[in-house]
Amino acid sequence: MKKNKNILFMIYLLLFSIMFTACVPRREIDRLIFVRAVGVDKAEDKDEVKLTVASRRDGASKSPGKQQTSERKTFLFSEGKTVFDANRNFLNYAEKDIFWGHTEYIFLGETAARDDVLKYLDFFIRNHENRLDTSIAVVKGTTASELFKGFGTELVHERMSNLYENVGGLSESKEIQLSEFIEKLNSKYSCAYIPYVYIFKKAESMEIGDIEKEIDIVLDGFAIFRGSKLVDFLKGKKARGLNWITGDVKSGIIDVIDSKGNNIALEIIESDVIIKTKVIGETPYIDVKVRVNSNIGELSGKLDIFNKDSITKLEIQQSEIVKNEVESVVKFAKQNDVDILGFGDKIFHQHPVKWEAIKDNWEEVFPEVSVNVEVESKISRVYNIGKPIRYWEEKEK
Amino acid sequence: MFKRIFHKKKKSVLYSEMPKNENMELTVSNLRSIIGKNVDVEFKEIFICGDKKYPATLIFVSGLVDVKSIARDVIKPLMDKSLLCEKDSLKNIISLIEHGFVHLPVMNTHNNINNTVNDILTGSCALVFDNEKMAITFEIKGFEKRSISEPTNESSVKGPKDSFVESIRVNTATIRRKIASQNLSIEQTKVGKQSLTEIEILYLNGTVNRNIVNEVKRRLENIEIDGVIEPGFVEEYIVDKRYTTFPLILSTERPDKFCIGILEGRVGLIIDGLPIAYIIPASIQQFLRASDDYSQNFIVVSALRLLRYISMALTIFLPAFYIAITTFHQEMIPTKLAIAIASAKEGVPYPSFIEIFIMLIAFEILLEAGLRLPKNIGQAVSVVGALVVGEAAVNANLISPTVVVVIAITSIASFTMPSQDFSNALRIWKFIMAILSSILGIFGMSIGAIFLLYHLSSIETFGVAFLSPFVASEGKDIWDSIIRAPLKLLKKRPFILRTPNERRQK
Repeated sequence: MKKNKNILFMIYLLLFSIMFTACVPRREIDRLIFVRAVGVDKAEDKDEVKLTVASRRDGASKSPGKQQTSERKTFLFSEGKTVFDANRNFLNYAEKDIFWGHTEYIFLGETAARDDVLKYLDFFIRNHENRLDTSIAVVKGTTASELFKGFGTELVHERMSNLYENVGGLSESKEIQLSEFIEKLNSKYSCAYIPYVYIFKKAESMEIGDIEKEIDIVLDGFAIFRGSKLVDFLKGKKARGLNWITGDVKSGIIDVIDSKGNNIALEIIESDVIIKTKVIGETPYIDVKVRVNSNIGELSGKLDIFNKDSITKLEIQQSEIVKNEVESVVKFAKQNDVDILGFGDKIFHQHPVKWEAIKDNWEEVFPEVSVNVEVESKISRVYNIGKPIRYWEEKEK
Repeated sequence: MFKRIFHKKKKSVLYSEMPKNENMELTVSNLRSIIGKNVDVEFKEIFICGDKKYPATLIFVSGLVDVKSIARDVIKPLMDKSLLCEKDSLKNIISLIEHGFVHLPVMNTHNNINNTVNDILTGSCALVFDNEKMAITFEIKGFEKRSISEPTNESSVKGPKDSFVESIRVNTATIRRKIASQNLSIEQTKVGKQSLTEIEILYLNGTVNRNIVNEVKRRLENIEIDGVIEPGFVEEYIVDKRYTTFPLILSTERPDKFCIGILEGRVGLIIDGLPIAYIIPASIQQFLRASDDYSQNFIVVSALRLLRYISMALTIFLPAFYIAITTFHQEMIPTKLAIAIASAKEGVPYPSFIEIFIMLIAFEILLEAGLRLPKNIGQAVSVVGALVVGEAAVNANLISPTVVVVIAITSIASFTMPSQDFSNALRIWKFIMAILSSILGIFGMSIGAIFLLYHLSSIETFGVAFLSPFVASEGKDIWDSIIRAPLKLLKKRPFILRTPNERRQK
């Protein structure tokens, strides 16, 4: 009898769990539009949100014999008072339900970013379908919908994923996920930054055989936020300076010259950063110590520089260059009073007690804070160290 | 209410009546009245030494016995002028016959008419002495039997190529040849009121747990059916739990697999007339253990066993998982795959669940048809199956290609199971999981998985947990389960069997 009771109990459990599990969204996979990238803009003329959604599906025609794949791209535009409102407004005309689970990129139009980024992002944080590992970027100079419209067969997310894959080779930008971004936005003392892209009108000679596309996406820097508003852009080597401080430089080229004035390309193979803070009285001092390790990748002259003296000279040059890059971004941060470098958090972590005294007027203190940059540079000869061709023609002395 | 009905039946109905000739005298005329009507029973009256004073009757079933041997070894010595003729009384003659005058080693003397008839009907020749009311039976089986051939269902690459046959003596001989030890015991019982089938219990004395042997015997004795013709007639009566899809005792047609079981301290069961043998008790890991496992490198075998466990999981869960992710959890699929699945499914009118079900059932039909068809048109099934189900269904937009792939992987994975019984058990569970996941997605699938686990862990077979060695063995036999350690390290017999002789090697 007891056994029967157990079995009955099991059956009840199963039945109840099946019957009372409400709100299970059951949707067939072919009834969905998979959003791969979404553009968020401020609607023109009015205070509304404009969503642009990109998706693609390969409609395979199932004729017996050969398989033809016809590419169908989908762009959907929708406007609404809020993002969620705009999202629902898609349903007015969309052939299928919008599915956010596969969104990889969120693009913010520049006007929207300058307006207030939180207004546009909360939906993506709150909605259960969206993921927090979505990558986020600002579109500089134009709107996100322009970016989407401008792309022909190549879709935005594919180009972006390629760009992010290669971003370490230059280290002038960095992929930032939504979770990181909102964490920074939420921070009281440091400022957030995300990568930006811009549309580039392509010159005819840039890419042979791909004339169809007239524009391209360029990714080379960071958009800097104060609070939740975009203030400025950081570009090129300055952006690399920011990456030095956050320790995100994966690789890159540093150009130096030898004693005859010939260019030498150094390839960064390793970098590291240690930030030390001290607080004397109520004045914080910050030591940034960057360690760079690089290879000699190319010599443009004939001079044989593989000796201790010249290498040391090159190392000093390299240190100078890196130091300049780092200092330039520190200067930029101080001028704009945006603590993108995370110094405030660093002081808090290292001196939590003394931080209490300075935290309230950190915004005033930050522009005056003294930052000492030190670069430890090394050129390790792990690469090809063969002498340059016709090296005997030029001697150093 | 049901209980009462069953009780009543047990008490009142005699399902199989014993022949009512216990009290008959052992005479030829009585024997004639019992079995004389059958055309294949031969009665032959002879006079020993040609002397009319000493009549006897030879009774045998033609076809069951070797007639030539009867003439040579029974009739000829009795008729020849010899020492036998010098004896003056029938008693002396009988005792001489009992002690070797007839040139056959296996003989029984009977006073009971029932035993005599049973002997005659199982392939003996009886010499009945009317005057003395007694009979001597000589075992002289001579029926046609299949010779030992290669195993058809459980093939192996390196192992021995013999298999069990229908004749029980040949089977015991095969086993004796593999285990010559004097500890090997073969005990006999008869099951089946009408068929009187010989069932033999094999075990290694001193190694086996006596409790298991006694339990097997007890359960065999309790079987009260008419006949043992198919394996199920024994199997279903001796297993612990009837309401399960899983096999609880391991059947095999390979003597080597059987002997491995015997040497581990398990009990073997051979049934006359069936080319398979049973190993008792069986746990889940034995169904995932092929006989080749002990003839190949242990690293290779470990990898293969892992593969088998993985394919077991695939068989049960893959269709269910596919249904779950395509109807409930689209975010789980990698984006490109999701788009590919969606575009492949475009134009297919059914939801994924129906698609999967159509294919699963179509596959089961093909499998069943392939089994039932005669061998020479059996190939037609595979052609039709491959063309119709594989190609045409996709082209006709009935099924999306992804589903075909899923079902193909599932069914091929189910073929990797070394035991057909076990594979069949998984086939049922595959459907249960698919239904649950179509209702609740991954959540439903997990409910199913938990239920399966609950079910499996509630099974016990002859006092051994079905899930052992993963449960109830204190982690001791794990080295010969999902992986196989080198044989040298497998020093002890399965802990779960509680064998008196634990160690099998130093």
